[in-house]
Amino acid sequence: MVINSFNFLLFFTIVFFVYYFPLKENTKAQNWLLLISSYIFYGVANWKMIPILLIATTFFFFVGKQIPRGNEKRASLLTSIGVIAGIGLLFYFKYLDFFIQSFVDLFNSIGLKTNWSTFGIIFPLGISFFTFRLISYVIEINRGRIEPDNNFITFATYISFFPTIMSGPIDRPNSFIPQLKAKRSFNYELAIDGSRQVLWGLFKKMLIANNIAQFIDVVWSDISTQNSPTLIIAAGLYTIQMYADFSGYSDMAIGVGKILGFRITKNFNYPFFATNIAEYWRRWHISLTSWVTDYVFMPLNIKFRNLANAGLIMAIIINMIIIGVWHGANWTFALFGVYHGLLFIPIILKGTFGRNKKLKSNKYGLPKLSDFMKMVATFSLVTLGLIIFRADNIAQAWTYIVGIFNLSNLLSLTSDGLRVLIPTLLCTIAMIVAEWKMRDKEFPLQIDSIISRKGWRIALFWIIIIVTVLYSGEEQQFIYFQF
Amino acid sequence: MNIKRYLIDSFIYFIIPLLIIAIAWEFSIRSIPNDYSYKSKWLKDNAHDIEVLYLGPSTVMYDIDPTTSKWKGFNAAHVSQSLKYDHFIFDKYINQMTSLKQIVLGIDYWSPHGQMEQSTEWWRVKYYTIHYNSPYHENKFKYKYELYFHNPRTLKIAAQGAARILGMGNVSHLNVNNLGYGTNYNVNNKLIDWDNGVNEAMRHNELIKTYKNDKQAYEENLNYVSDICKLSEERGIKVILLAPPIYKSYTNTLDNEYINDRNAFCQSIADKYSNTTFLDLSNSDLFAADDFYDANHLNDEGTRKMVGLMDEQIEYSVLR
Repeated sequence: MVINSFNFLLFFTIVFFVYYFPLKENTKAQNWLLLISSYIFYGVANWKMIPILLIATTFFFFVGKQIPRGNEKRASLLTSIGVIAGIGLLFYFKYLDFFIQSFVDLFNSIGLKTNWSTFGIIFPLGISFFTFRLISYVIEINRGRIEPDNNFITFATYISFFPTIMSGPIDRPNSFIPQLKAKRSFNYELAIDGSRQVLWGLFKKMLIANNIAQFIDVVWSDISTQNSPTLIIAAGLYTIQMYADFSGYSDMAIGVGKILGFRITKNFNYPFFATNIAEYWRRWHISLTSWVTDYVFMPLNIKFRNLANAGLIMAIIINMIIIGVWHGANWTFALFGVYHGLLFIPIILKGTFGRNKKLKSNKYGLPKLSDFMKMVATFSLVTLGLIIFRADNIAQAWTYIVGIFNLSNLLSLTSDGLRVLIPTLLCTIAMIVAEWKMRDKEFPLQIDSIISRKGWRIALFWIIIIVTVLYSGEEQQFIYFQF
Repeated sequence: MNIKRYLIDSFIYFIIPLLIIAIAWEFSIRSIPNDYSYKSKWLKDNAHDIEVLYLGPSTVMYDIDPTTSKWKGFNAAHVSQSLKYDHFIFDKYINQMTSLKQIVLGIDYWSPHGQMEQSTEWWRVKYYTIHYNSPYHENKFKYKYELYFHNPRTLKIAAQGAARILGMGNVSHLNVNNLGYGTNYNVNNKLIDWDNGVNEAMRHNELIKTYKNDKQAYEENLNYVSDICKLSEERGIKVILLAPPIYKSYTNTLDNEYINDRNAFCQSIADKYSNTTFLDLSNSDLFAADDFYDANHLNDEGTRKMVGLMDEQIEYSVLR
């Protein structure tokens, strides 16, 4: 049951009515409902994974409760146990088979035959997301920012909250658990805002991401036969697909959360308007980057502070490798992390790391030319990185990049399908223009200040609904479900 | 109060209009006659009268015209119809087909491995649910409603359907004659680019490659055909497993392994059931370039030749 499906609409409608009518303002009962709904939602994807989620949740709940105040040594020990358990969980389900296979390949390549075999471990959906929530819970207790939760239902609901369990955003306990404890009555403005955000997410996912996916899949299915222009266009479109797919999901999850009265962590802040890589990472998958920044980068930066810029660079490269490897067990993800880490070096040396630039428009309402050029450069660098990210292995990524620089046969495309993408490309332009225009808002459909008449707003929403329905591409799984 | 306002706003401005549009859309498109609605209705009303039932994919639908045959027959083949749906149609009407003497089941190269749900033609599955009341996908929206498959072209079709309901139009998607033969492939509009065979065979090579490792699908397809043959044997009905005529540009490009696979698939069933024969016309010299509409479908001239040949084969098969 995916969030943009008819089944989810039915499921959510039932949850909504039970949540706001029989259980109105009964926080305890509402949390029970959310917990049961979340486990049903998760179980529909694969019921066999429910015990893993439940056991992990129970374990961390009790570890959290045991972390004492005033006994730093014991608190650190228990926190370390929690962190190691979380990493162990991820390692087992996500990386173990990969490492076994890598060792087998390594030994075979030097002539040492092994009879090791992988375990064929099934990867539980959403594990990267809920594990990071579990880990942050014990760390935050140890840091004294939250109290251990005494209510298992509240804690389990935070971990498994159905809009976000599959693909995030990765909410922190300090922002989410208090919302679960607070009295929640229906908030009209928030629900309207959430509904619009769901619509915007559907537009991005169903229209832009799903349509582009069909072209990208054809190109990637046999990259050796594609010429340079096709590879360049496919690479650029993949960057757009990734954004539309993942941010589309995040918008839908946040929107659904708002309808239920929750404010979920923002996950994207118009990353295509970033003027350098550092800024890009402050705008892309914010809940992950801020998690890794708080729990990995900051401690490393303190540890390496005596090394000045070299220390900062080391901390960032390690940080980026963790972000890369978080996506999955493949050397491509590690290389993706190294690549992005290296892109930070000029920014650090220039001394502009950490600076937030306020974007300004020229007299036509467009970005200033210098900013625009920087945005294009950043987009290109990100696109190059995503080739590594998308590839099955490093050799395939290399073939792709070499193919881009093969300057023969430049006047045609080797893959059909771009022509049918014209409506999608027009909608992509519309999306980028809308995002630019509304960049100070959380998402572009927060239009009350510029379209004051309700009728016009409804007309605009209907245009988006009709265009999305008519031009939506074939159903595709959300890219981030695999992470 | 707030929640009431939210629900009223949502219902008045969005949910009710959306539901109305969705229902109107579904009914409008369903109101347009198509090959599936015609054939299912024809079978429901006339199955008792049929002596020969033709099943299979487009190669049968466009290659055999029962109106020119000396046998009372009906062509129940559909484009990309996989063996699962051949079996379904046979099973649904077998008890009504009291005069049935012969079944001709077309088996393409992809058929032993093919599953319509897994192919690019998945969108046709809904027609079996809507028009034939197929029980396979009762709970799957995408295989049950026209609504699921939507694009700007379907908007136009929905508008045409609405016009038809209101008596303001008469659009039809019926491309078969009264006995189910596909009428759009004829001499006058035949494709003259014989490379089409190469492209089509390459497409099928790729298609079969994606299916090939699915042993379960192969076993299921084997069971579907075996079941047709077994039930027919019990009722004294003869079966011809037909490898339809193909133009050489197609045959030469198709992977030999798939040709052998298909032939072995058919032969193994023919060997098992005494009422079943395997008729391989895929390399037949009887059909020249002029007989084809494209590389794997005959035109109306070729169909006349084909029907003559099939009449003889059926006579031989039935009297055997």
